[in-house]
Amino acid sequence: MTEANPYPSEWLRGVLALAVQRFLAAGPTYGYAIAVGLEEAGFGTIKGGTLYPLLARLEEAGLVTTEWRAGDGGPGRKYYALTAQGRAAFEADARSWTEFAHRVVDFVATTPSTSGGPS
Amino acid sequence: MNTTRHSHYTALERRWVDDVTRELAIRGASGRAIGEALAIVDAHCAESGQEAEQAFGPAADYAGSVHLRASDTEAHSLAAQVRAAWPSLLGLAGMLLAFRCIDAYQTSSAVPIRWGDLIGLVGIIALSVAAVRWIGVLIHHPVLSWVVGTALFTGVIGLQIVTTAEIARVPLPGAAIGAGLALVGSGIWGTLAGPEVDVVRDPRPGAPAPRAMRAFGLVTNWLFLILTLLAGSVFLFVPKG
Repeated sequence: MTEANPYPSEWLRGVLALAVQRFLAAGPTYGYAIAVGLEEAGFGTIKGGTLYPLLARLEEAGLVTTEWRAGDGGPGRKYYALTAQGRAAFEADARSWTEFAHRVVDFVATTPSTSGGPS
Repeated sequence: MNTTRHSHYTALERRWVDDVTRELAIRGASGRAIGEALAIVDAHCAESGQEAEQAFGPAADYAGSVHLRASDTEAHSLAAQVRAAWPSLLGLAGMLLAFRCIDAYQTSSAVPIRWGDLIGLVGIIALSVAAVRWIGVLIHHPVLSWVVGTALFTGVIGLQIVTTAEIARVPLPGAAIGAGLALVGSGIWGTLAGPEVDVVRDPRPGAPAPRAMRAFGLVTNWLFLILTLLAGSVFLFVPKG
């Protein structure tokens, strides 16, 4: 864990695809904007070598479409957009994740008894 | 630190671009896939102001993380490489037959077709396909590759020389026509069906299309005919013995 990455990387690995899809649910955008948005949302710094392969896998799975667009004075940007299948998958995964997260919070928030394992 | 920018991917260091290109080529990525991978990093670094190594890690790590689809590596599959080798096999056969024709013309005899020639043809094409297929081994282990490659090549040529048993003797006019057809056919086949020279292509709008390699591809497809004409003209006009 570092200041740039406040949570263990294995936690992030589990949730990164969902977080990226959540970002794309707001509309088509490009890689750097996603990286900045995730950082601002508190996920820490996401390396390009992690983010773009993930986006490529989402594209291959048919959850995302891509399009190169001309940049404003700079090089072109590759825009990513959720497909209808991607949106449906995101909504289903978001529901499952929320349920899972509540279970985790409920479980870890409960003070364990000091008597040990199940009787 | 002194860094040299790449002339096209201007947000990136030239060395990092070269390393990624090489590593992806070793993985069998097409020029289109390599261009796409580099354009993504270039666009990201131009916006973030970061160096590629900082944002994407070492070149080899990034190249290893690039997600390649089946279509990105199809041109480097064994089937595609064997398909691409057929025109070369025909051209090499035509060149060899043409040289045999010149020899037969100078000695006023029929043209011998030997088993050794078949071994040489197939062996050289097989070594060429193997070299392309295991390009990563060649790059990462150059000395070992050179030793093994030279030994195999010498073995093939040695077998070709010592295997003098003849399959047939063909009259000179027929053999000469066959050689000409094979050489021209190889060039046409390579031009029509052979793979275009695979160069790195930037997919971004407005990026210049790579053009310089077209002439190279054209020359490569007609290489056996060009070599035969050059070498043949030397052999033909140099008195034998």
